[in-house]
Amino acid sequence: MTTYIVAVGSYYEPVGDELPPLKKLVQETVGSNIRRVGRFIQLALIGGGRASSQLSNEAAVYLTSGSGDVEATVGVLNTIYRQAEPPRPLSFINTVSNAACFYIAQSLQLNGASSFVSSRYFTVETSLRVALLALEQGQQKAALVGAVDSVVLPIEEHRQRLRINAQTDVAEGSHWFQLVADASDRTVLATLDAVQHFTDREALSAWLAELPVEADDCLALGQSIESDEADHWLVETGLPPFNFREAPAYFKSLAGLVFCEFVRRGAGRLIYLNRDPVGRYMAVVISC
Amino acid sequence: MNNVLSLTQLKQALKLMIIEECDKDVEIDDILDDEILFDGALELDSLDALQICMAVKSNYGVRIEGGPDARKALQSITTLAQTIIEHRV
Repeated sequence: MTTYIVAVGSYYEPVGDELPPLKKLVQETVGSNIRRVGRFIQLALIGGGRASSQLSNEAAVYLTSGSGDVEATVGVLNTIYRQAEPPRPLSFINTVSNAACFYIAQSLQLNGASSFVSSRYFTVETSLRVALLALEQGQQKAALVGAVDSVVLPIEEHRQRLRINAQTDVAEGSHWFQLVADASDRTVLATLDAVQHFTDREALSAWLAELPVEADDCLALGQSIESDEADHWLVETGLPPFNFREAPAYFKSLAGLVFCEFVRRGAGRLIYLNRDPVGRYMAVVISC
Repeated sequence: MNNVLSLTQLKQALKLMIIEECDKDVEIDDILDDEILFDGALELDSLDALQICMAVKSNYGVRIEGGPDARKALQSITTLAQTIIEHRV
């Protein structure tokens, strides 16, 4: 069974000492003013809205994030512990991980299931896998899959939370994919061929050895793969790296940006690999 | 500082508080003193009501209980201001 990518939507913006306002962008994207939401939900609405062309109102929503809605969480914790007051109801409600899904479903008038998919090291990969399984097993006919990460100022504290050094540029990102099981009436941008999990390096090597290589294949490597290991995979696969832009600024769901850029390029096949600290791997294959 | 607010000043402060707490894109002058706050043009809902009650407690030290008392207090800016004045210690 084939799963088709029929739309992508993205927002990517490197951030300095100030955050660009998003309210107007949200209004332009979803067609109405959405109140009582913070940046995380605003980013979700912008990315999700941009990928919602011809979206079925039965579509399921799968949202993931590397860090979650840190702004809402920090705000509520500050109120409780620094101000010694109970949190405001609207702030508290938005700390629920699925709050962004609610606003997306409401704004895009979706009636399908919505899930926040949490995975510490394979954020985008896992959300795509869950959506792919649901489509392949016939549980869903369409899915809106997205990954969102926001920045919470001050920037130094944000870097500390991400455990990155002071020289690393950071960005906000919201990257979304509209997947369908039946693309007979749609323009297909790409196919999501595989989202595979591997228990160790040998299992991944064995799988790659069986994968027929084509002339226009390219390789992308996840954020957790260090440069030494990256060289290893480039040599082992013999594939050229997918170079889509000069050193993108850091955010945890960077894989979403990689996939969106590849689909927009519109040619070839992307083989993407990532690992976690334990040594487990995931691979994603997208063909245009 | 809140103790020395005149009724007019209190009403203005309450309008600003509602705009900020409920994230409404309106100006202070758009909210009339006796305008119905809920099921009216402002389109506030039950979550907004809870938010306003918490803000009143935090800013003015007045606890608005649920049920009939809350419905009475949250009818309009005027009733909200009267509730605060009556219960403020």
